[in-house]
Amino acid sequence: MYINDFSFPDMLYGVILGSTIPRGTIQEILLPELPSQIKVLTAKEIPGLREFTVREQKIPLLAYSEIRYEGEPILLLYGPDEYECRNFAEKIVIRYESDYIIETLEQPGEHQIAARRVINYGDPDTVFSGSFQEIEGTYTIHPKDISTGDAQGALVLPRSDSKLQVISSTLWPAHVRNTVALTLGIPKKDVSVESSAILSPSWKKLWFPSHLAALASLITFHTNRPAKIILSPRDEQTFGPGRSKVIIHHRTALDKEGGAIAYDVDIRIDGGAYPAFGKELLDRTCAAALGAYRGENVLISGKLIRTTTPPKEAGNGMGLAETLFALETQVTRIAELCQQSPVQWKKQNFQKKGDVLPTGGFLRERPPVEELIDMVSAVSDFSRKHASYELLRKRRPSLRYERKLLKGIGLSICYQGNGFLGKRDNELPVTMQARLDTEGKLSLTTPLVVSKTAAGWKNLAGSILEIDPSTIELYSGETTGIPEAGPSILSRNITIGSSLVEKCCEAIRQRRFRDPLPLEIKRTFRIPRNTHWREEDFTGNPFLSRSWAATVVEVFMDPILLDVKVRGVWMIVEAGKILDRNWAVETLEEGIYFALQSCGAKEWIPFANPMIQFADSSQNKTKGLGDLPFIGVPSAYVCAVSQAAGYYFDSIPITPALMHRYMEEL
Amino acid sequence: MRISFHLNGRHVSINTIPERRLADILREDYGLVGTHPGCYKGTCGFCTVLMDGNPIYSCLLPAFAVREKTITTIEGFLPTREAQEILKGFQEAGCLLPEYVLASVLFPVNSLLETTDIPDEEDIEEIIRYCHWGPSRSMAFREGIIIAAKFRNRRKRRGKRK
Repeated sequence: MYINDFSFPDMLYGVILGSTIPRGTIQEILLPELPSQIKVLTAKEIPGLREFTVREQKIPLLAYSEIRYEGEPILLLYGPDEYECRNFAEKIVIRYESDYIIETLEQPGEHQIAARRVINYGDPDTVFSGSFQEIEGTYTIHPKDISTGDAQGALVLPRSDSKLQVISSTLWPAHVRNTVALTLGIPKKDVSVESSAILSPSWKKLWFPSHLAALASLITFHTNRPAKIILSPRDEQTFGPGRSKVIIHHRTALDKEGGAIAYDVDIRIDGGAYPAFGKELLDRTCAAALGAYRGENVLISGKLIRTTTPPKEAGNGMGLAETLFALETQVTRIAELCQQSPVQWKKQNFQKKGDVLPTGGFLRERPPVEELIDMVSAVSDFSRKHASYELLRKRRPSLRYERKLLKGIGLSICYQGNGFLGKRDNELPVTMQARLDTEGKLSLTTPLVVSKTAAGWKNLAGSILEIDPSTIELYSGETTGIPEAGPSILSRNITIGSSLVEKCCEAIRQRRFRDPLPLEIKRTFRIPRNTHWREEDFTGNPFLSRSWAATVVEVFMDPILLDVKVRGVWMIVEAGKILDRNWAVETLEEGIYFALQSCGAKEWIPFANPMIQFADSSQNKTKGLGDLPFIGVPSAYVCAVSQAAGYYFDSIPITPALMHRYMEEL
Repeated sequence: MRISFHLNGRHVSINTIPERRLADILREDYGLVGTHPGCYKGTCGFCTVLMDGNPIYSCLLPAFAVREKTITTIEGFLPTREAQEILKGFQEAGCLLPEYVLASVLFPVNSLLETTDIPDEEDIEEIIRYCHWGPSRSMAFREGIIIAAKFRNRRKRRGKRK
């Protein structure tokens, strides 16, 4: 059942009232006469900690005095009728004292910088001064809110044993449990968490459900009645975390042949008022700033900036989508200015096995870049189309007199870095428990929240133990009787979860005919100590594993309406061993749809079927692939639209307003 | 304001404010939680119901507009032969529909199959545009509609022979 579908007798509904100013202090709260059935809670009524923690960042449950962003929750109203609560909330007046300057990403003050990261390798300054040519570009990734459809919310039930039962639409049940326990000041064992059904695992379901669950449990704590908070789509826009706006400036030094000899990348990330997961986001963005390209002289500087916008979610790819969008758009532009095909330029400048990464580590696996580019070029007919569309664009006298469809095609190559950076997965280790009972029935228990991966895991376990996958039981999102785990993001279900299923089942296979049943095996995933990443000085190979994709997007554009239609999307993926091909294709198709939505202003861009193929992989381990469309599609789309329009677009989403402005400039 | 209408074959009457949305009435007053108002602005389609046989977004429909109308929700539609044919079509095509998206897929597909025996690419594209669920862009989804149409035609032919 989805969170909004639960209903219990005697239930109370919670409504959040947020601030109407972005920065200031609360001076006075004027409550009209309260109807008997409606009650109001403030930060003073929180019995435990008034702030909850997301990784290293503390976020207030309800603002006590200081306001740091517009929409910050101040009051929690509750009553038996949600409509009455909402109507009453509109009558409440909050007076503020505000003489602050709005803090933005574009012109940050020194005090706004929450974290910095600098990677300096080789001698970029000298190379730039002696370079043949320099190419610069500033790329902006504006956050675009995409609704996944299912509501955000939490439901809390008081239990007869004086414990609390929390139902939440979360991908991180352990965090919900900790947040509820700490803010109510009760032991963790008195809180049990159940994950509701989730339509699409979105980043919005990472830490924000913990905030809602803590607020709902506050109502239950004071009333001992079931309490539910469901955010309306409008509420979600006001209180819910948004994605970070990112501005990336690229400067590339080229030699006479057009090869890149030095890179200078400046990254600015909007961390919002409370940059949750901000340091991880900044580090990943910087570590992947050169993507799959060779860089011998590199300067990458990144800043995480506090602003007066709501706290941020990290977003798909956790920094890689933004940084690789900027990079791929920049290199396509370089190829064009050097009069080369993007395929040719990219092939010449890719990393090879043994090359040194900007973070100082060596590339231990050969990136399958050339094969992927060749495959995607062949299936999409990229080289011919690109050359022909380029010719059409150059021969076109003026867009004003053009009546035929404008055509463009773009190619990008990207990778997805699986797991948290370096050894940070060890801070949130994942445990899996497998039990083979006396009747030969296998059950798997994990704290990870598993939805679509379930079938793949069952097939994997079934094939190892030679049992029918449909008889295997899977208990996911467990918070009792099993150690806590981190969130089910960054393809941890696939990379870490699958590896644990394999290890547990292998152990059972070896013991099942030697030891008496039932057999119980527990395995915990830990990054090996000899991993090639040094957190202290940010050097080495940062990612647990990389999955690769080459993407081509072809667009047609109406020259009068400037309406863009995606004609085709081709994607070739290398993600190790694929556990369930149908699931993998469905995940990628869904990702392509959402990624295209995030690129265009329209709610829905009609496009022909995406064509997805998997490259043969020499590796036997499973790797994540869910974020690949979000990383690869945007730059391919923007390059395609740029070719069709004959103008460089350097931000996403490409809104009709933006397109009109560019066309007027033409 | 008292409003009476036909809901899933029953005549019902409710006392409510006239501007209340039908989606909320169905979920809160009748427990029909298969209607999911995902966006409240007529975009996602997850709250689709049939009003007098035509699919509409119940999140945009005020209570006064349903007076004496016939409303069929996904709960009322699922047991019908038409719904089962469509579900079977998608199942055979290997496209598993989550419960959340059933209303946004089944009602428009049913409307299409009522007017068209053999849906063409354009018809299917219309359905896909209506449905805001990622995997609806897949080949399996398209095949699901075509297979459902075959089941529907087979039944129609059998009915004519009898």
